[in-house]
Amino acid sequence: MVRLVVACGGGIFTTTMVSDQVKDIMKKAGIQCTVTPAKLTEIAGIADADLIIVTGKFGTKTNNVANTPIIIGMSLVTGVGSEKFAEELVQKVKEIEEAK
Amino acid sequence: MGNISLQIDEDLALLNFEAKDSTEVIKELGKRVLAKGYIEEEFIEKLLEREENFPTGLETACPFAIPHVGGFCNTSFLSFAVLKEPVIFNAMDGSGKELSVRCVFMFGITDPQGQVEVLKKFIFAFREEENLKKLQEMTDAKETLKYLKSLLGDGLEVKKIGEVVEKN
Repeated sequence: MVRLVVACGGGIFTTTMVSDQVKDIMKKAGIQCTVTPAKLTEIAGIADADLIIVTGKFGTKTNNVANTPIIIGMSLVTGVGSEKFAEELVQKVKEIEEAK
Repeated sequence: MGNISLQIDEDLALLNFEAKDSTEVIKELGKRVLAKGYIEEEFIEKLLEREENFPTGLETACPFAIPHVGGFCNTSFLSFAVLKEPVIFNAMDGSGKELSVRCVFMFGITDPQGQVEVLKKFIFAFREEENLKKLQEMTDAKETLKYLKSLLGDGLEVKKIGEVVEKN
């Protein structure tokens, strides 16, 4: 079971719509996962997740302080490059799954 | 089960609105929503603060902004302003990019899980340039509400002005 966190500025609007799409992408790829919503201000210390998807300002860091990888999921909001993002996300999550 | 569809009426649909900056747009929409009792006064303050720290401009083909914030909302709503001249909203992605925006959609969301369908429909509709352009060209508030309803379906409840709304 891969543990994903989706975070945006308020933890409401884009988090909700991106989470919904991430669940669909994972379902189609046959990957079992949990998707937990969060606010960007809460993600720095998240240690009990395998991957954090952000749709907002988090600088250029690719890991948080707990070494949890972070990727930017803005394309699932704007639609620009969303298919490519979905492919990369599946690839990344598969790698995480295999490493477990 | 409360009513979770987003409430809107002609008071919350501003067309050809003139504003000098994003704050002025947010304050005007806020004032109108507050008058309906949909939000607490703190909502506007929190929203401006949030916009400062985590901006809501979306860099789509035709950029728009979706100011919203958690809490201080009694009744879910959608309000919007189509501006005569664009104002600057910063991009949500944190790139620091300044986006010239003519459509500002202010949301009050009380149940994100329950409202995910309408939020998705909204974003999917307006990231298409032609839909946003169509809205920008409209001159009649009633027509814009009809148009929004056609895009958003059940998730949007178009009220007549003055109609009492059941609290969420």
